[in-house]
Amino acid sequence: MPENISLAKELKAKYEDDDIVIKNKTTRVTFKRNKQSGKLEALVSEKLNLVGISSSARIQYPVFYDSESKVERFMLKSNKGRDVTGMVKDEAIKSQDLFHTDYRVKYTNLSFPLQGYNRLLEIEKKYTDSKYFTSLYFSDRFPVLNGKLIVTLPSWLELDIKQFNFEGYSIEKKETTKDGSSVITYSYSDLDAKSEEENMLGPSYMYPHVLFIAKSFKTKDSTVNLFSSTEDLFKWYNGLVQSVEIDHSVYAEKVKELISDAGSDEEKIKNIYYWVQDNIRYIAFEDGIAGFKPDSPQNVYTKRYGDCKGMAILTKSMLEEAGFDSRLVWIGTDRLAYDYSIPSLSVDNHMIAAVVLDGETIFLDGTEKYNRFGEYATRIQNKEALVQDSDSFKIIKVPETESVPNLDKTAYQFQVQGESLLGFAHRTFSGETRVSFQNSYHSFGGDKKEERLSNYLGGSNQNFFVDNIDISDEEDREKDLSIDYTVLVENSVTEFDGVLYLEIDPTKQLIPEINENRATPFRHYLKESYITEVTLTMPEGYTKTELPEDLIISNDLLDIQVKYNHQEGKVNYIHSVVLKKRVIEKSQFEMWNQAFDRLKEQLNQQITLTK
Amino acid sequence: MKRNYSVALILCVLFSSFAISQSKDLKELQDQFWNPKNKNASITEVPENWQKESAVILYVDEFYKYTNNGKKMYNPSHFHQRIKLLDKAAVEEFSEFSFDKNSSSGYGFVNFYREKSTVGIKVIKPSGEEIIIDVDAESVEQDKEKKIAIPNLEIGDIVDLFVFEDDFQRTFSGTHVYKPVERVISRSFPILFSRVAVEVENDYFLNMESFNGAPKVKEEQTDKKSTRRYAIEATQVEKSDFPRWFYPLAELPSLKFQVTFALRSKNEDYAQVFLADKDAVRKSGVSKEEIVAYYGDRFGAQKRGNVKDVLRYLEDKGIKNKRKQLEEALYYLRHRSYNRFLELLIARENNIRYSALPCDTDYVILNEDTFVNYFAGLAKQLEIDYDVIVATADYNGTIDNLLLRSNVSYGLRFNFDEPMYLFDVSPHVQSDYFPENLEGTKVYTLSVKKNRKLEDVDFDILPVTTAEENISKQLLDVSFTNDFKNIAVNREQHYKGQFKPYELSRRLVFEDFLNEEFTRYNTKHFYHCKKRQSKSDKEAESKMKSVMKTYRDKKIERIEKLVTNEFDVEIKEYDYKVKNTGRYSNDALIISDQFSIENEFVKKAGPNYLVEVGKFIGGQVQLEADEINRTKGVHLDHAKTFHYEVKITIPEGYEVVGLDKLQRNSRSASGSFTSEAVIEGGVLKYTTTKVYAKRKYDVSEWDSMVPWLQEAYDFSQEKIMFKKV
Repeated sequence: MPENISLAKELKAKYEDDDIVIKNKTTRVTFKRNKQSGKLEALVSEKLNLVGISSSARIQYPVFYDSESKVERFMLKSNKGRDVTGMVKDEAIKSQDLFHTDYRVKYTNLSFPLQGYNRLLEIEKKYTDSKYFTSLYFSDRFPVLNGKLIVTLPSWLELDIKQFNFEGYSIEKKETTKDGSSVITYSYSDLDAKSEEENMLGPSYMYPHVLFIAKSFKTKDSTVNLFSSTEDLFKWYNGLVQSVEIDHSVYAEKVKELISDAGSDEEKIKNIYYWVQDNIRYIAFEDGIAGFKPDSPQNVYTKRYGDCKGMAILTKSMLEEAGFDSRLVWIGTDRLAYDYSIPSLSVDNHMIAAVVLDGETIFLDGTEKYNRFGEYATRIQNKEALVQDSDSFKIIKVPETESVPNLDKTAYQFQVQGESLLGFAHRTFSGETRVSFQNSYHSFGGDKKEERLSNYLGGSNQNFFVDNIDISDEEDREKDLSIDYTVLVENSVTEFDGVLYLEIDPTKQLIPEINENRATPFRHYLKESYITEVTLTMPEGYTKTELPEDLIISNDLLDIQVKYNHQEGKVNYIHSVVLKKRVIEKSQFEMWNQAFDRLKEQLNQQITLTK
Repeated sequence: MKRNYSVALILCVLFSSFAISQSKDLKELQDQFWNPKNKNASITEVPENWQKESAVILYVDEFYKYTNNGKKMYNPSHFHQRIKLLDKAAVEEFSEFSFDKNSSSGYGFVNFYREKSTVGIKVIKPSGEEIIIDVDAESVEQDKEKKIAIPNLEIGDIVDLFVFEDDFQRTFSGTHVYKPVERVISRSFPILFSRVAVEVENDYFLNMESFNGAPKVKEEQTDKKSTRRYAIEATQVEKSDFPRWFYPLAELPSLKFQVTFALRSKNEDYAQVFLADKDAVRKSGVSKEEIVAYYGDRFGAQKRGNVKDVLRYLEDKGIKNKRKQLEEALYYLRHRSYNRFLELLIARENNIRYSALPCDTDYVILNEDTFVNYFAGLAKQLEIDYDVIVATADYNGTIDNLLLRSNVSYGLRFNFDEPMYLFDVSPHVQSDYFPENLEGTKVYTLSVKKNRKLEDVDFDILPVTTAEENISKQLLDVSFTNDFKNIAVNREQHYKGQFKPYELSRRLVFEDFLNEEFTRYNTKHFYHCKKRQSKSDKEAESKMKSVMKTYRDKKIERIEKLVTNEFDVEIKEYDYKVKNTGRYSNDALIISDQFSIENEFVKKAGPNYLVEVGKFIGGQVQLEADEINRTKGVHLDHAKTFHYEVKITIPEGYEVVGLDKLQRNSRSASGSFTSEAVIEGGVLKYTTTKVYAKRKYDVSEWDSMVPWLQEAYDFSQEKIMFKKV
């Protein structure tokens, strides 16, 4: 129909990168008491009207579920209402990060052979226990033109709805009552598709969504308490942990061995913590209750592998065996925007251990290979930790590790040889930069290790060659890691009429350029610093230099310095970049990219040596 | 350091069978595989020279057995490997093992259609302690895939693993051709002892041989008279090394085998396999008599009636020259029997029409045999003398070592003064160029008697194309904006010879060349067959146009990416136009395009600019230090010339310094890189020519290739100065 085509064309102009938009999306949420199971069930039914806006498109529309939820209806209809579902595929989700999970997906292929084609999808999903029904997002994989979320809350149910990231969106909330139930309707419009970009924040920081916190419900003769407070959440978590049968005898001997030569308590703890890091492989299982209940420490010890919960409980139990006050800790990593004021399973996604030493709580994350005792990974810094405390709990914020910067620093001593620079380099890695280097380095085997390291040291410069690599103890996490090597940088010196033009910075470490059309804020993996220092000995007979002007940029996001000087027959160069914020907002992209452009231009400047 | 494993090429073992069966008892299998009497499978120490490896395979044994009872074919097989893990990366890699239907397992062993697998794993500690893993208890299963995380694994451990498959499948036709296995003996880790064995019963035919210095195939005693077993055993095998420009099966110790089931002798004739005279006896090669017999059975020039449409076409067009007749016939067939069917395939794939057909019936259903028989029939009608050619692509090895039917390229030689060879149809096939991997290879020529029978086998060497005919030429006009930040490039690309079909497929939009063919041959889209278009045809037309538009957009995106890769920088404002496709002659494919490059190739030095002008000839091969000393021959796609003419407008107020850096000359018999540069009328002009003189070089020629390859790379890194005046 012509009006469909003209609408599709209009939409295509607006959503250039999309092939599909959702014209209408209606989501209804209802609750039911299941007498048999005694559980509160949640039913989510969705109706979507999808429109193809490109000349033609073929997509797959997925619905995810797991052992706590079921997809009860998945139907595709033509715009005339005819059932055109075809084959619905049902597959396990494979993930590189998870060895085994119960996540599954049902999906069907939808084709939109012409611009303006309409398809209707009807999906019903049931959660057999409302505990696992935690959130609903308004945004979808395609842009949504108009949407409604209608939640019907019967009078027997006490449930909180928490709203996130509504600001800046046109979302209206209305409350009415119908047949004694309260009906809450959210109406929204013009939502962009969820992005799939690199370096993104977790979705809970960005997209408008609601959390459902079912606190309690009444039956004929009683009230069933659910998660009405953080105490309830802890009680459930801790109950699962308490039900793990523990047999210390299996690793008692190992604990004894690990602490026997240790002089101090700190040393004992380190020995145990580092042993877990080094010897327990991280293999993630997420299957039903196994997603929340740890394997037993003796099992993890014997198998030498486990998920985060397994590693946490083994660390805790071994420390306990060594006579320390150790605890289990639930925590949401920086992927999650929530804190423990919300009693919901969506608040955390990770488990670690803690030890109390001289009254101080020190967190221990066995999954962080090469992490130093007392330092914390960026992903848990500043996040609330739910720490066991006798039968109760404490909430403690994981501190930032400020004493050790995440630094990658290289100092070069160069001299000119023909068209090359030749010399020595000393590179050091500290903080999490060291941790991530050690992890990558050990992921390569045999002779590939040195080859990869050589390539890595030269960055993107294909004319950079290293030799005589001497690496400090690559297993050590108590000291910074350092590498000494000789360097030859070919094609870095050009002579014209007796004048030498030199590229003094061999790796020209840039900052990432951010695509200005990017839809979401950019988040750095770490708050890192890079320093390149070069000391160049002037070639014989050359006495004069022409050096570029220094570059200094300092703003909220970063500090950049590129400086040159000529002193006593040597040219000294320093290039440093300090990232001050992890997250760059969209409004800051321009400022960031200006810094990128200026740095790139600066690093392309040559220094000139004349006789 | 990005975690980016380049997994070494694992040449997997493939074979197929349907199966529903029960496995042997696990205990029995454990006793069989972990028998201490097997001395080769009891070694625990790694030789001194392999101590620095990531892992060493101490023992690997593959076995395939083929038996039948007249109704069912049983194909039990096993894979048994002992690998010692010498660093963390190896522990990580071998700690997880998965096996499922129709996909490769973590250990590089694949068996198709297995219903029942039995897996045994034990870990041997450096102390000698052996821990048998309870595979059933430790594994998780999902969607028929089983995964095991091997517990308690540490550096220094040996993982001793076997997979036993007990399969069978029914045969309906009495014939079953198993997929051939072709692979090098070495693997991605060094091997102390390696064994591959195949056991066949009567009614099974086995083609099996080892090549390029691999240990010989040995026959072993079996308990049954009707059964024979053959094995290849190798010791002290270094890990695979696959250098640049290299065909492993042509040079490295390797093995090939293929099994065919043919219940009754009449079934033997149907199998598309070179069969031995007698079942169960290993066939180790194919003689010329067998070639005649095999292809003799399949050959028969088609009758006039079958080729009349093309004869009519040639007559209508008044084409009299015999060579021209064949050329035009090839392009006619390319459209009628090939390219227009691609449109029908697209209609089916996009659910537009399931079984669309062309509007006319002037087409042949093509396969290798009918292609030869069709052109033989045509040659007969056109009175052109021809022979049949049996060849093998050089990455398979040579025709003297022919073992597998699937390695054969079957075609024709038309005996003009300068012979024409035709082997196959592809969307952009050219009459004067046959597949490059057959160039210079030794082939069988079979002469034809009365167009029915093959006789008189002879050998011939196929011609090779030269660097003078395979030309990639690029003309670039380059200009800078005043601040040197933006570079505008106008380019014309010319591709000839063997370059052309490849570049046509990369740079042409399907819809464009198909429509060109519809016009040329006066044929119609399937939705235009009827005089009055029906409603459903109308709908199909609009859907097809939509789909074609999507295909076009995607292709253009890919083309832009190609250009980005050529210059290794992001390009902007890309626009292109095909000036001449050259699809019906030896004329060049000519494409003009333009784009801009921002903030690249330019470095500032005070008021002056250093420009990496060498980058305009695109990325050049950079030899790594470990490539300089080469031990294997060099195999390229074809001899070739890359020619660049670059004109750079010198911005006003600047002069060029350092022109001498662009004068290069490195020549040898193996190839060359030369360049010249001049300044004329405010324009810096340079030309470069890189010639790969041959497609195949002996290892001894490598030393003479290195200098000109390096010269080209150095040129690509060269800068000149635009000096402020």
